[in-house]
Amino acid sequence: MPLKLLAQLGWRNLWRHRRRNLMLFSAIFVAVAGCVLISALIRGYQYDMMDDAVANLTGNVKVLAPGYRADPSIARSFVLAESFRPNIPADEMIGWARRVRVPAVVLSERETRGITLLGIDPADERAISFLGGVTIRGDALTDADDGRLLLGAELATQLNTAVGRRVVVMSQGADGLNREAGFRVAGLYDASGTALEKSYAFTGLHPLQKLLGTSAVTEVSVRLRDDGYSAAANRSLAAEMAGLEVLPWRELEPQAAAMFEFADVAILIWFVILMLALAFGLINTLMTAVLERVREFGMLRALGMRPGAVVVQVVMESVLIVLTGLVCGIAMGVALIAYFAGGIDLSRWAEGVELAGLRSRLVPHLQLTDVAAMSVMALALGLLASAYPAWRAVRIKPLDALRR
Amino acid sequence: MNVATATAQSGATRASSGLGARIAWRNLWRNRRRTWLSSGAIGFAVLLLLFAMAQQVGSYATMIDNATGLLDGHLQLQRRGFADDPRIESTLTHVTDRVVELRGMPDVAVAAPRISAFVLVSAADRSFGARLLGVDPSAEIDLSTLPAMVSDGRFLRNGAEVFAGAALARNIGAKVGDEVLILGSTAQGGLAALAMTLVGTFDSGIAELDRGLIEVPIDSAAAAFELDDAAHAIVVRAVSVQQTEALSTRLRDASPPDVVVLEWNELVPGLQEAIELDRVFGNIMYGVLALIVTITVFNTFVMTIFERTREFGMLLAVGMRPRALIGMLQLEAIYLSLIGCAIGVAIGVPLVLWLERTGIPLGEVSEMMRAFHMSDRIYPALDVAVVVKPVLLMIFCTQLAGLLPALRVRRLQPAEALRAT
Repeated sequence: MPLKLLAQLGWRNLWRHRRRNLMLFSAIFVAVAGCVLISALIRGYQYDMMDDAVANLTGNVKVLAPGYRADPSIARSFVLAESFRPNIPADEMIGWARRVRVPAVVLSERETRGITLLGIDPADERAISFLGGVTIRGDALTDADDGRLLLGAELATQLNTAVGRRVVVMSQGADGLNREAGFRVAGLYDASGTALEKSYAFTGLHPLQKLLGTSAVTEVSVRLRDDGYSAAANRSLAAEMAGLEVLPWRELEPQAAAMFEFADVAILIWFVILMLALAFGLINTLMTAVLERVREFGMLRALGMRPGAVVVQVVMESVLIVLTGLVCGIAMGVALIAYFAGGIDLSRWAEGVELAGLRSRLVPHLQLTDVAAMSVMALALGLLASAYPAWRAVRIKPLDALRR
Repeated sequence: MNVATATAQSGATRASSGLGARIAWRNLWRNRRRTWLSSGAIGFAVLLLLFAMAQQVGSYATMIDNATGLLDGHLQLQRRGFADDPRIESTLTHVTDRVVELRGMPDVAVAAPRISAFVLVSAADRSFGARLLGVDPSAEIDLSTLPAMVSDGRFLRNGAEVFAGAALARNIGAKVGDEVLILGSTAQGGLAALAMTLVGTFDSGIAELDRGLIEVPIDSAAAAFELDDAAHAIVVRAVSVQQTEALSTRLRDASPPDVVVLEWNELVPGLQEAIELDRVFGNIMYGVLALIVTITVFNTFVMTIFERTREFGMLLAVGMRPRALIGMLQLEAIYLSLIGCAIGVAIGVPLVLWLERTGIPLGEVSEMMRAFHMSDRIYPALDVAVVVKPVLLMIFCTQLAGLLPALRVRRLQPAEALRAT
């Protein structure tokens, strides 16, 4: 029997029992829409993790001198030609920057704090790191020769200092001896009171190099348009910069990477749970549909419909209702995601959000592979759930049915 | 006529008690497959919700235990203003007496003073900024889990010793046995200097501590920072976390106005909020699951009632009050949900009890989870609420799902209903 005819038959059969099939449809609809939205929220969390790790001065790929990770001092640095450019196509990169990053101690009139001091080129940083998006009280650094200091607002409060005041910064120089110099505070940046704000200070690249007595840098950070390009970027950089460590963000921030992977598992588990919950209802409805049509199936068999066609008919009805619920559910899920596109405001739990590695607005992120995976699972459910009912339907002998 | 109606009515009343209950129960089993599938759906939901809630409760307990146990304790007494502006001169006075008094209180398991300062730590010719904690070595072992996280050497005993984060020690180039110089400023503005031997390093999994914390015996710190019988905090560990609130209220009442009592949720910022956030997320997921199962059960009831239209017509024609009929249907719904809940609880409770003992291994992510105050295994926790909440929820949902179709019964006309197929 031609498939198209069976499909039409199946579709019409569904409409014969509007109420119960509508109920089943709504269960599938809710499950699918819920899946789509929740997976998008979890992905949003996942990408927030990655974004934070990456924008947090890590970048998608980083070049470091060997041994820098264990011993982050100026002794582990490398020299970079002025004309250096990473060997990555411009359309794959958002930007890149060279930096000197060393631990230092900052002393104000009354307080001392340990910090991480970065010598940067502000123009490069604007595009690739969180510095591009923060509000600054006072002045931002003007260029790589700006010898002033940009502090986190929290840090400045703890140091009891302010814009325009002077502080002393001490760090270990290239020759192994401690160097210190006075810096004027140019501005204070606001990074929502995060740990970053409490311990990161910035100054121009060249003044810091001068202070430490070196012309080397400690890192080159590359921000890509799409993290999927990381592996390729890694390879070309490693080839270009032999002898140095080229690392993706996952290796530099293993905690964030672990949470990132965890999100994939969480989404899968959630899909399976919802599909199983649907299975009960689906089997129930299909069984009812088969058992109340014993005479009908018997008659069809008596008229010559082949057993295979009976099976296909039952399976078809199952698949059709799942498909309808799937399509409408996805549409609803996408609509919900669009509704929350501005992000869900989590600022009520601001500090918990920081602990968990989230941002204060959770923006759902729709990933097509998730939708595809869910669709495959839903269709598989439709097929599997119809197995038993179809088997029961095939066992209906024409004579038994007509005798009823 | 009156006698007949009266008999029928009294029969109906009887029906809704003992006889009605038995009829309702038997009605369920007239269609075994459907009953099993529906109660299976309810049981599935109950099982999942029970398990998920137990896992949540267990995780939260672990996180709180680990976070408070690590360093900050259940509550701390501090001078007012110290938490926001940790200056060296912001101290509590008469610390020895206060600590003795605290140790005498019934709910207090451990209490000890701590000195806190920001210092410069150096060895060879490398220096790093770090936070120094002057601790009471013998009490600290019961107060914090940090002394147990030794990665090399040992924890403090007394004298000129320092216990440092492993990353910090590595950064200043010091190994166990080396001499370390610690410089800070005293409350009077003078120089505080300590020359200590590194006796051990710790690895807590929390970068902030491993890279920026050192501990020395409080007596050495007090001498160097010229703090006489003074400390920046008295850290208290209550007999259990639940008693923290009551204890803190008592302490607050007994303390002068310039002393504040901070509980763990103020000391470990974000933990409570992270827990709340997780709880909200969880509730949303549970809601979706419950909704799907409710729709399924609703569908079942609709199908069942539709099939039994003739039967209902007959019952109504014979004189059963519609209310009694609805009551019988509601009873069927209750039985269904009870079967389902029984299935869910029968599988869920032993499962959780077993896992409560063995724990769910987190595998590869366990190292990473330390930063979130999680251990390497999740121990689901069984308590009354974890069992009762899912059961009540599903009973309620099932009743609701059963009510709406049952109300259709009121619109049935016995004569038409009898003729239905």
